[in-house]
Amino acid sequence: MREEEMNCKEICELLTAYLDGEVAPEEKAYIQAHLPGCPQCQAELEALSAVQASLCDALKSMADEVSPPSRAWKKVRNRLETKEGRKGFWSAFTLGRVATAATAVVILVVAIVIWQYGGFFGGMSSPPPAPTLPPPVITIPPSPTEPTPTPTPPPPMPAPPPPFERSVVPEEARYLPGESIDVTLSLTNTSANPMTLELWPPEIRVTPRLDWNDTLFSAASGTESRVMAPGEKVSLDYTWDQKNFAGEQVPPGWYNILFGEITIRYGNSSTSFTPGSRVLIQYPQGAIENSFDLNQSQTVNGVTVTLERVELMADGSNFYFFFIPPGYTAPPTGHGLPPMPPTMSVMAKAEYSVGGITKYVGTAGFNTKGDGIKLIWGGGPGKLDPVPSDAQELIFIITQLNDWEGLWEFRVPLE
Amino acid sequence: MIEQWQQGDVSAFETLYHQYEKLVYRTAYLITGNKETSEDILQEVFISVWRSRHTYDPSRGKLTTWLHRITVNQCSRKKSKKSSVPVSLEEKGIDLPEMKHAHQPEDVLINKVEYERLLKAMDALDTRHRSILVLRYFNDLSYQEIAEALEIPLGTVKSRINQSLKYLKTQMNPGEAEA
Repeated sequence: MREEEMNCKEICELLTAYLDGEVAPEEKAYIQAHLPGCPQCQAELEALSAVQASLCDALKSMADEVSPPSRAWKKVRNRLETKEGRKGFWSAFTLGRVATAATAVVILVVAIVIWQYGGFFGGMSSPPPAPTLPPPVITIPPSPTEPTPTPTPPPPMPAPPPPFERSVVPEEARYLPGESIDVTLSLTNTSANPMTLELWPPEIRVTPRLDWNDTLFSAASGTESRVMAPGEKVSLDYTWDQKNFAGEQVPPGWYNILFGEITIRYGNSSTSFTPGSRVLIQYPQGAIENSFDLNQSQTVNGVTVTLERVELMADGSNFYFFFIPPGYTAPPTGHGLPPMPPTMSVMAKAEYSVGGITKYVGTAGFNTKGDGIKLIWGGGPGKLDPVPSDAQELIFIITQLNDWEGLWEFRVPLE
Repeated sequence: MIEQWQQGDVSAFETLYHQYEKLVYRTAYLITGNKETSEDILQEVFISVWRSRHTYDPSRGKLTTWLHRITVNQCSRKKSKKSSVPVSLEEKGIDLPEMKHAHQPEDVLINKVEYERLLKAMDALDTRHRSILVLRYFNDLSYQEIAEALEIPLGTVKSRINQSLKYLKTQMNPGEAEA
């Protein structure tokens, strides 16, 4: 019994590396022999693999939302020209001087050699043995800012909650086209010390639900900070008339009303966040509420993707696809093994259009299915926009599927 | 072989910059959770590369390994300089109601609700643990590559990934007792 517990403990320590394919062959064999008879380790493996798969996708999704600002290169470029940028030994500025210095060193060395050994023409019956130098060892240089390594990592500590409360009312609501949308942001200092809001009032932006970068309308932020006394509550009311910058009514669908980014400073700490409200502008004619099993396949550059099912609801829509990536090996199944996440990470983006209006639907979730991978856009009510009841056809286009080239286009008849 | 940018050719360096700016910026963003800090780090990394360019030998290691090392070190510096409650998805606006309350079908293993919870849990990790998770699960580096990039023993990489994932697992399944 004790031995069995020891074995489980050892196995559990190896499971993360096992999932990452980073265990030795004998450890792998040991784990695979152990798992079928041990529900405890199976459960641990399942939980770790779920976290790993989620983490992988969450990081990729989060990274995908940001890009370096174009101004960054200009700043780097300007700094290259300064004294700081010229600190490099081979910098363009010093190259000439270094070359001159190097020449001087060579001349000096030659002069010393001539002096020491009597010159090129006399004094020595045979040349001195060439000095044996160790081969040059060049490794990747440490960063100039290398931190001092510490032998034992401290255990991860949860960060304390920030000492303020925030709310956006309504968090979520539905409207008909043309109705005014009123939203209130409130922030309360729950600490015993003053804190500073930067900037106040915050910028307000309206974007499509899944496309944070597509600002349809915005109101500029204030230019000053606002100090909040202990216990003080500040509020901001905003009314959106459902119009974009051009003063046109936006089409029905889900939208974000975002406040900020707001930065709150308290003591030596600060936190930044973008609270928001989510609103659905409904189709006045209503939305299709139906499901379609399609199994429609498209092959582009050797990659076949199948649209399996479409679910349309009053306040959302879901799209389910299946594909086998080239060179993909599905994770092992059977022998009592729990379901495993795909052995490959997938970055898939798409859009669909109905009645000439195109909607960006963001990044797909994915999961193992048989010998391939299932892609899911939507996956729950209210995530993607609903489809109007009078739509005849929906065109769904996968615009990105990892690095495989192509657009996978599917036409879904809705009648 | 010495590349042109190593000889001080600024336009070749610009090409190099544009080739790797996303990699560096996004890695920094995932580690620090802050766009402004990541922009600073992006600059510092490439200034460091420029200043130390004569020391880099392509035959001894990949450029990305070096970039990862400088990036992680810059993140450690920035984190220790500016103590702040880390933010993640909130910063890009994902503290919207559906992220907290939406009901997802069971077969959607990976969804935004989980993302938010996971990234919040990850915020509580120190920079060393967080950096390794980012290098492994975002940059797809092997354990050996991480060890080389951070100049730490392979065993340390293994144990930090193991500790971090177990911590995240506990945070994602709060009812579960520690093994």
